[in-house]
Formats: sequence, structure tokens, C-alpha cells
Amino acid sequence: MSQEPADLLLIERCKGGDRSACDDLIRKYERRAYQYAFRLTSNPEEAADIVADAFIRVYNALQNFKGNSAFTTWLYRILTNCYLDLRKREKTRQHASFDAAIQIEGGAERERQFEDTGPGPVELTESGARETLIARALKAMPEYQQAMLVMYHVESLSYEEIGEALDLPLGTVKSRLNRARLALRELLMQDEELFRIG
Amino acid sequence: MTIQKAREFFSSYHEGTLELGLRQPFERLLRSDAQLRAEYEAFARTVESLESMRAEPIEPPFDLHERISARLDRDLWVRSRSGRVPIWLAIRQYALGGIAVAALIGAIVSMQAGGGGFTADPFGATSQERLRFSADGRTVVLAYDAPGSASVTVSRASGVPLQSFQLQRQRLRSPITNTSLRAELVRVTAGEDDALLAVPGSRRDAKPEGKGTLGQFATALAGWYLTPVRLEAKDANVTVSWRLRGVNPADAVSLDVGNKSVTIDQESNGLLRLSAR
Repeated sequence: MSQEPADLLLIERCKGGDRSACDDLIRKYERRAYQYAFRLTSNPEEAADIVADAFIRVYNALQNFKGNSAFTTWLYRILTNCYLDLRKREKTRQHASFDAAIQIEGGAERERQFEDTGPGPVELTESGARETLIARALKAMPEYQQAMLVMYHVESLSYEEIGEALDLPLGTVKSRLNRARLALRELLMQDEELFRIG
Repeated sequence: MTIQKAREFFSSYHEGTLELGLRQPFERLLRSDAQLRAEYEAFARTVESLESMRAEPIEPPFDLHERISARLDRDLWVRSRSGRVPIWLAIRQYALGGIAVAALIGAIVSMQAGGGGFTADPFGATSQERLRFSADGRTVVLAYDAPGSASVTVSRASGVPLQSFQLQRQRLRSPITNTSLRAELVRVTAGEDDALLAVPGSRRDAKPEGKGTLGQFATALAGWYLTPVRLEAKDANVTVSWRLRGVNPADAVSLDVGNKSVTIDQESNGLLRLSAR
């Protein structure tokens, strides 16, 4: 992903305080940023929040952008960090324990029941089912693996660009992506019967 | 080659980049081990499914850009209040001579109320004016109702742009503050509307007498009385000479304007209006 001259010009104008240039830069990349964030979260509100957070960070850190890598690579790095921060914040919030029992009169206890309201595999149709399974399986993976898979397979970043975005050596990117694919395969093979349809 | 090692080569084999020396033992193992072969086939299907996600369109919310802009504006406003405005922004402000179009700080872009017609408001507009101003001390507050797609630009009278907005049937309300010592003349262009404003600085200008263009006179008025001035003139470069005295600018100005007709009025919106025909 080479540096676009148009991007360099917009960035320089942005650095100079030209807010309209910043608006142009945002307009140019907001859709792509949103698509990436949505692939990670499957949630439109969270995706929009991540994109807004990312562009705020971009705006505040623009003076540090030297142009050694493409702006898009830098943007992906910031988007990924915003996503990781979001997940970190969620994990620090208190959740109801799935093991907590409900005390009812008479001393008897009943386990708290949490219904999975999502569609089960047998309720879904062919190609739609496969995509939903993929999206759900991705969400079940560690965030870092999720981000790398989406970057490579959906956003079409190269191994080198992913390495730049995540500050990883090329060999590490390749081996981690291979492990991520294997892990995803394991998750999907739990529904192998449906997965083989069509 | 072990099964475990073979799994490490799934990706490179699938991509066709596994080097020849490794490819042959890998393929031998695939042929001989049914379990490994099944795993690889599942792996290949996994990759294909991932690739198919690319074709799935993701439509962003229609107001994504507005949401990003609003968050950005809000972040800048919070930072400015806490003194955490990035240094480069501060340097830029000084480089511009201090006139801060404080539109980034506290600017509000909102959806217009439905229907036409504007009721009387602090901007003194009872007509269908879209571009309106009011004075808040030394600050000019700009209000603009974009009828459709429109841009609002605030620039120095010399043409150097300071701030611009892109609006889509939205209402913009923004302060324009001059943080330099001396009054400055700025131009506000909104759609087809255009206005010249002299915005006072933080210090009273020392000279009550002068000679210059109407633009310079408007600036002198603003600097002397520390009140924003709106200049309405076909030609702001017309030459006038002036002497300022007393506290009421409308009464206190004596002008030598030759054959021209120049009036100064105190408007209900708090601005002085300098009109020349």
C-alpha cells in the first residue's frame, strides 16, 4: 500500500490547521474504516464508535505521522488499537456470573439460566448460514487473531502491510495468521455438517 | 515431516508459496494421511469462506461522517477547556496572528427545524436571512441555515482561509473570536451570502483618528469601541478619514467621506453596522 500523493497533500494541509482538509481525509477513509470495524464487532454502534475514536486519535497524532508508511496502514493500526481498547474496557466491567445461583424462598437454589437467543445452525439457510457462522466464529476468537484475519482476507492487506500496521516482523505475521486460520477452522468444524452443505 | 509441522505449512501451501524442498514431503504426507488431508480440506474451505466475506457489502450509517465530526469537535472543545489542545494547534493559532475562529470549539451543527420562516431571535433576524450574526461581548456569533448543500467559510479579508464547514440542510452556530491584540477584518461566505466583519481584539486600539479604506475604518471602529462591526459596502476599498470620540459610536464618529453616504447604526443583535452606498 504505497503512500498516495493526494493523501500526503491532505495530511500536510491538516497539519497546517486546515479543518476542511481533515474533513476530506475523513470522508475518504471513513467508509473503509467502518467496514473494517464492523467486521470486527458485527455491531453498527460499536463500529461507528471505533471509527470516531480512531479519527480523533489520527487528528491528535497527525504531527507524529512522518509518511514512512502509507496513511491507510497507520489508520488500520489505530483502528485495531481502538477495537482492542474497546474489548479491554468491556472485560473490566462487571458481568453477572454464569455460575451464580438465584436464592429463592425455602432455601432451594436454582441456577441462573441464560438463553442463547441467536439462531442455531439448523435454523439458517445455506450461504447465509455459512457467513453468519464465520462472523460468529470470528467474534469468538482472540481479538488479535480476529483483526489479522479480517485485515488479510477481507480488507486485502498484504502480509507486509499487516506487519507495518501491527509492528510485527513478516515471519511472525505469516505464522500468526496460519495459527489464526487453524483456530478458526477448529471453531467452524464444530458445525461441520452444515458447513459442508452446498 | 510431522503432522504438527505440516499444519504450519497449510497457509503457504494453499497460497502456492511453499518452497519446493518442503512441498514434496508435504504432499506425500497429505496423500498418505487421511486425517491430515481432511484437516487441510477443511482449512481450505475456511480460507474460501473468509475470502467470500469480502464480497459482502457493509453499508455505513448515513450519518457516519456527522457523528465523526461531532465527536472530533467535542474532543477538541474538551481539550481546549482543559488546556490540552495539541501544541501544534496552538502554534498554528499564533501563526495566524491570533484570530481564532473558535468554530472548532463549541461549534454546533444541528438539523434545521422543519418548515421555513424564522422567528425573531437574538440575531435580530425577522426576515428570511440565512446568514446572521450577533455580538457576545467581543465575540461574533455566526448562525447559518443551509438550505441544501452549502459551505461556510471564514477567511481573513486578505483571502487566507481560517475555517470552513460543509453543511447539508443543517444549522450552524459558531463563535468567531479574535485572540490577538488588534481588531481584524474577516469575510464570512455562506452559500450565496457574504459578509465582512471587523472583530475586536483583546486590547483597545490607541488611535481614534485615521484615514484609510472602509475596511480599515470598520477595523478601527471595532478596535476602538471593542464591538464587532459589520461592513456593508459595495466597495470596501473606498477611502475615508475619521475621528472617533465619546462612548456611543453612532454619535461619536465624524467622517470625511466626500460624496459617499456612510452610516453607522447600533443593531439589536449587538453589532455595529457600517453601511456605505
